[in-house]
Amino acid sequence: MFKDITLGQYFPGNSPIHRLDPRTKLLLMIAYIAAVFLVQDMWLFLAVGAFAVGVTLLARVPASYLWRSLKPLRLILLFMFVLNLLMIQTGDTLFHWGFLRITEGGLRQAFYISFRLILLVGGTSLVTLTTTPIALTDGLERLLSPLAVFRFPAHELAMIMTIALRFIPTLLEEADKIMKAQLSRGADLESGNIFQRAKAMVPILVPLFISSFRRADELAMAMESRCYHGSEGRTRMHVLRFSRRDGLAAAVTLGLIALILLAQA
Amino acid sequence: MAIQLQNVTYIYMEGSVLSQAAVSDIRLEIQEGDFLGMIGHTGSGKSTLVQLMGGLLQPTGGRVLVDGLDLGDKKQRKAARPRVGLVFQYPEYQLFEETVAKDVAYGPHNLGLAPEEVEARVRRAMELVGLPYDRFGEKSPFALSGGEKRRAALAGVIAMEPRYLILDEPMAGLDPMGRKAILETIAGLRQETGCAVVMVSHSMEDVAQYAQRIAVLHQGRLVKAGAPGEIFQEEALLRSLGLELPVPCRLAAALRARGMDVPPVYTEEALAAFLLERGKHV
Ligand SMILES: Nc1ncnc2c1ncn2[C@@H]1O[C@H](COP(=O)(O)OP(=O)(O)O)[C@@H](O)[C@H]1O
Ligand SMILES: [Mg+2]
Repeated sequence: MFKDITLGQYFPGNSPIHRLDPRTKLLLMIAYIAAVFLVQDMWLFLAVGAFAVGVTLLARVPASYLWRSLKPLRLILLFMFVLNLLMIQTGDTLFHWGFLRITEGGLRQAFYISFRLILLVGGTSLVTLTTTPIALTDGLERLLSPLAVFRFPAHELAMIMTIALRFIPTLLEEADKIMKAQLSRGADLESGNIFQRAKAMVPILVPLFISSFRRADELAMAMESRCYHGSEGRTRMHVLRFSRRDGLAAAVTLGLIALILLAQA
Repeated sequence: MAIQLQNVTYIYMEGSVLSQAAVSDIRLEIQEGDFLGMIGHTGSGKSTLVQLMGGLLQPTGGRVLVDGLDLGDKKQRKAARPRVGLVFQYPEYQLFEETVAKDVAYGPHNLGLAPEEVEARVRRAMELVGLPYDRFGEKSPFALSGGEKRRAALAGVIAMEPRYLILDEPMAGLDPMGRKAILETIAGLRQETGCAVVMVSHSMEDVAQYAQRIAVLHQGRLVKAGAPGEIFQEEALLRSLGLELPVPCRLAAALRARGMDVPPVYTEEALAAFLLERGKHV
């Protein structure tokens, strides 16, 4: 029943993009997002798009995977396009019918917002497609760790994320099992109004919660028995190190973004 | 009247790179009143087969019929479900109600029975698993011991009075006393109601003692099905599939190796009876 849900869309590979430090990818992703929001020109959108395509090729991620992450966007995209098209009324009128008026400015904005959304989701998907969830949380923790000075719980946050990622498939499997068990006891999950259906979920949710608590308890015990005591004095098995590759990637990306923004100014 | 598996195949995640046949081309019939033991190495497809028989998975190929009802058809599946009682591995994780009685009543209630009938069935089922209604009915299922929880969950399925009771490793993780209680409950239920039992188990001794027929699975295929005597003759075959013979069989073989003329036996009782008989003549 849950077999179609795939979480964490990592595409295993060994490309130069895969091998970049997760911190590099996260920081460059932020720069890329900023660029996508600052660009206000059709040609420059194409330039940013070309950059994203270049990275995709370099990462050797199949287009179908990227397409899959863009697919859920279709409705939002359509909605934003139509909204901008009809609501923004600047420049020459291109089309007029009853109360509908489409202007040149509206058309332009509608296209801009669509490109922005596609580039945004496509670009960030590239990061999650080429970085394992564990590496991603690791990178995030290291990037946020300077905030520890302000008592920001960077390590704890990263640990929570790691544990959540680890247990999502387990929970789905468990939910599937319990659901099957109750189905074979005659549970009817498909008919009735919304209240009846919510009520029918109780026999699945209660055992699921109980087993989650039990699991959390066991995990806490296992971690403590292996002397886990938070971030203090904790060293790492995989130490993140910037390499020349990271410098190159940063230089190329930031250079391109600078060029694009200069061209716009 | 029977559960018929007609060339049943099941593939998880069909079409993905990870897809593999968990069950392939299985032909098997479970007659009314049968006691079928199902053995096989971990990953041989036993649990998948159990779910196919309960109509919880739809076969990728072939058909599953319960008393002539095709589980591939939604309407017929609905009609067939009450006839098949499934006890999953670690069934105690499905308990959810405030009291044991309410939890056991969940299945019968879903069948749409009258309240009096539900209550009568709950009492009977709880009695049968050894959790008397008057003592355990109002207890929270979460306050029970591990073995009692397992029995409460079993009662929840028994109370639906299925014609076919299918159990996936019902004794896993229990202590010897708990195992015995579950086994005797199952045997007692079968004697009382005449329902058929399919029991997946890793314990060769239990299967040897209780099953009338045994099905051996390996890598999703039915390697052999037959009476315990037939199956346990195939020592080399079972070994090659990573299975052991029951302890009485091995003991008999050891005695044979030392020159005692032991007939083929596979239960404790049979071996004990033989040795006693022999002792009298020495
Ligand atoms: N939900 C599932 N998704 C994908 N593969 C599965 C799933 N459940 C079982 N399998 C696979 O199917 C095969 C048979 O599993 P199973 O029926 O659980 O065997 P058994 O109960 O004999 O240990 C195994 O190879 C297992 O990895
Ligand atoms: Mg199993």
